Amino acid sequence: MSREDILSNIKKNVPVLTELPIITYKDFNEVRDLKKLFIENIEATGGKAIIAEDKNDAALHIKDLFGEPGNVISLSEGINISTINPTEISSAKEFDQLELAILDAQFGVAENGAVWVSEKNIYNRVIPFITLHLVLVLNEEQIMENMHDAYEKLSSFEEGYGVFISGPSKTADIEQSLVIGAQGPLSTTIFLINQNN
Amino acid sequence: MTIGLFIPCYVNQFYPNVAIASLELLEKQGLKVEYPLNQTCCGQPIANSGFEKSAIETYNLFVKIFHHFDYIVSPSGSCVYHVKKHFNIINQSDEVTHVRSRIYEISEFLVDVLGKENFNSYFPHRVGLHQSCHGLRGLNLGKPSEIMGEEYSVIKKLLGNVKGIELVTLDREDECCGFGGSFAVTEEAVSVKMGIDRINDHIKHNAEVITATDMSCLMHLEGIIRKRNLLVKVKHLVEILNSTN
Amino acid sequence: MIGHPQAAEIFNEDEERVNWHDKSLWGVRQKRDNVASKVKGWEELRELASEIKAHTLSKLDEYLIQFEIQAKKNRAIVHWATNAEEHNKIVYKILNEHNAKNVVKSKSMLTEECGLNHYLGKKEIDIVDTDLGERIVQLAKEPPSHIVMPAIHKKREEIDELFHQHLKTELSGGDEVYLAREARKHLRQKFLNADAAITGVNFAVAETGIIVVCTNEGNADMGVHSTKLHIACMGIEKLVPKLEHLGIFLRLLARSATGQPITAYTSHFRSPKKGNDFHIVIVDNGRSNHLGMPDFRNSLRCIRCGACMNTCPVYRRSGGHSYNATVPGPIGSILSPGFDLSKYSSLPFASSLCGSCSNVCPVKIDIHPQLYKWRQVITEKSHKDRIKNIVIFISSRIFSKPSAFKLCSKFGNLSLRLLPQSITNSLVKGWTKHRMLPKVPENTFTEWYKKNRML
Repeated sequence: MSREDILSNIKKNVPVLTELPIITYKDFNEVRDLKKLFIENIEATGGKAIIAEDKNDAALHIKDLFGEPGNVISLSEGINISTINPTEISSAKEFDQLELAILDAQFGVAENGAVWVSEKNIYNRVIPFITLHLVLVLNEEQIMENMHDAYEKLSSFEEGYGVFISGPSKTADIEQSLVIGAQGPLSTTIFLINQNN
Repeated sequence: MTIGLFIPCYVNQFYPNVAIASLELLEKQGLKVEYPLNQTCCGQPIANSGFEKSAIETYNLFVKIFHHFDYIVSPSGSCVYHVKKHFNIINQSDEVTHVRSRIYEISEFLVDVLGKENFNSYFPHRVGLHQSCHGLRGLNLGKPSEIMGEEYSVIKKLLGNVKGIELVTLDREDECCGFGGSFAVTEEAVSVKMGIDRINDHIKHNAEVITATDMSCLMHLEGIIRKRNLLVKVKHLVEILNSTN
Repeated sequence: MIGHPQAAEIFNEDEERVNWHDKSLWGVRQKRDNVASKVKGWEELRELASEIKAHTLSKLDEYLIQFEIQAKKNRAIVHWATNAEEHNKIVYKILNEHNAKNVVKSKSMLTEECGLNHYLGKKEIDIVDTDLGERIVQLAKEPPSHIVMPAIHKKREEIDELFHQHLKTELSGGDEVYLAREARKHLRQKFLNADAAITGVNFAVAETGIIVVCTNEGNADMGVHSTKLHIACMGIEKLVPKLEHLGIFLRLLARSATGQPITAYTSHFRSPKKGNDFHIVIVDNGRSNHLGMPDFRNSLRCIRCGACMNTCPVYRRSGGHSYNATVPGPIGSILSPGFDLSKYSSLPFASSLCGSCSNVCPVKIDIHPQLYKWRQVITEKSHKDRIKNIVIFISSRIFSKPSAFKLCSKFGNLSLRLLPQSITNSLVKGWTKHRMLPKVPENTFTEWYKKNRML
């Protein structure tokens, strides 16, 4: 009933049809050093960007940064430092003590320092959020300039869930004073890896 | 080129010097300027209060008085904006269309129609420019700070050519003064607070004089200045442009 | 219930506080200017966004149907609610069916509009707002004062006291790091013990049935992924036609709202995890009627960024609560009268019509022209302000008759010069409390002109 009422009232009240604009997304591109811009923007969000030669190098950096926490999940092939097997955990509660999660990101966006992570990268959707610290691993060739380019890449996105992650969680709800680390991870570190290695 | 000079009612009443300066400045350009004695008002106060239908007779009178001039020029951005934008509710006869397309705020008339930007003005003072909203955003006299793009300002260009002047930089270049017509009375607390904040910005940057394209803004600011015995003065843009050695 | 002018007057009794509130919000406006200036084609983006939304509204029923088909294919269950009451009932029914007693909710102005928290509270369901700003006002038992920064009106000492009282934190003088960490602990427990998560919807994509939720705190995702039931509540106007259009809106949204290029999390929900349930409640609540108002329908383009509030000199100096509307500020002043003309009749007048709001709106809503138009509607429909009507009537008679005008002009100046200030001041009370009347010159311009230019 409500559905029909709403739809018929809308149909009765719609304005005269106007067309969708023709958009030339290329017009928004500028020639830029994408990697440099990407790193600048990650740092502006309070995140960290580290250039690593390969996954082994990244693993060493991770050890430097985080030591060897007791509760780690790595879903990034080549960085084998998991202390927990996520397939053995089913409820979010059991991930509560997760200190470090290492995930692959599919691509980054230079204009805002965001990376795209989807269902296939994260095993359980809560992992990127419930972890204390988040590490994302990205092929440095996979950096788009802006969100238009990003959505072009995502045009065939089929999974049930995906998220753009830009920096650590944060809030400025207390007198506009920025606090890094709100309900999600306290830190987000992105490793940029040269794909040839 | 015949010019009909339109003077807002409160300028006629309280600030005749602004009208005199407007007249003189236009006459100095060799123009034939007439001030039709039967003019009344553009109707903005009535319309902005929500009674635009009651303003229709006033609109028609305005057109009747001014339509035979080539241009209608006024030292008031808000009145000009009102005619251009809100006279749309009356029958769009040829006269109405003519008036709406040929009415200009005085600085845009000088720059855009006459192509003149320098009037050998002399005003050796520190001046703060208050960018009245109707002129700035309504008549595109400059780029508002919230719009992205190339900077431009008709008023700053004109003031820049005034000898001896020192234009101060403000913290907020184009925040509203809080006059807003009947808003000044119906939302008195906020209106006054907005005015005080504008004045303090000018004082902070050592302006001796606050100028604007609208006497309504300046009347509101001056009212506060005088109540608080502050040292800054107000002067309409056209008075500055008309000041010579 | 007091109107905006009276509430604003009370707000202005504490000038220091007004300055603090004004500066906080101006700071956000400046951040917005800074990031917007770095975007090539910012003004073109705004134009495109406004055209996409205009097009969407012109085919809204078709896009809603398309969205529903796609959402259902994605294993979402779609509900339709005509009004707030129905929305609340539907949400309750879903929760009840799942025996959900503990609910976490991320920011949703729609649920605020429908009074969901209050409704569920009466049904003994514990509903916790997990956005820190929303949690603060929830604990304070206040409505949010800004649609993006709900607790912008609260000082750190007040928040400190609030947390001390409700969360048993130590008094810290308002140390934001300490308070945020304590809130994190407190909310983490809520997430882990929740039975259901309710979110709002920033954008709903018709082409794919995806809904997008933007947060900085990660609280929407923490809620949804910690529980087995996700209820997403959206107004009918949240649709965009295609996935690619998200590029345009997301580039505009956070920059306009908080001065960030993007929020920390931009989550795309298509299908629930296997074994979980995903419900979408599509809400009308007056929007389809608003769509039928040619002068006012553009306000349905709104993407709830709050930029108009940040730039509004009146909002900054009167605070969101003075509007007494779920959505305050400039956009609230053109939306609210559509719902209740009488209740919100003071809002379109709570503006100097400076026009800054229209310029910052990412979807180019003609906000200040609509404020002007609402004024015409309100005066026509309300017979409240008899004195104002009389004054206007007299003014219109005077302005339309040169002879009457000249007489008043002469008389006006004369009386202002001759009458004692005490009388003239009382005649113009609303002006003279804080301002002097202008000095009265010897002659009007007309008199000068006659003497000096006419032979």
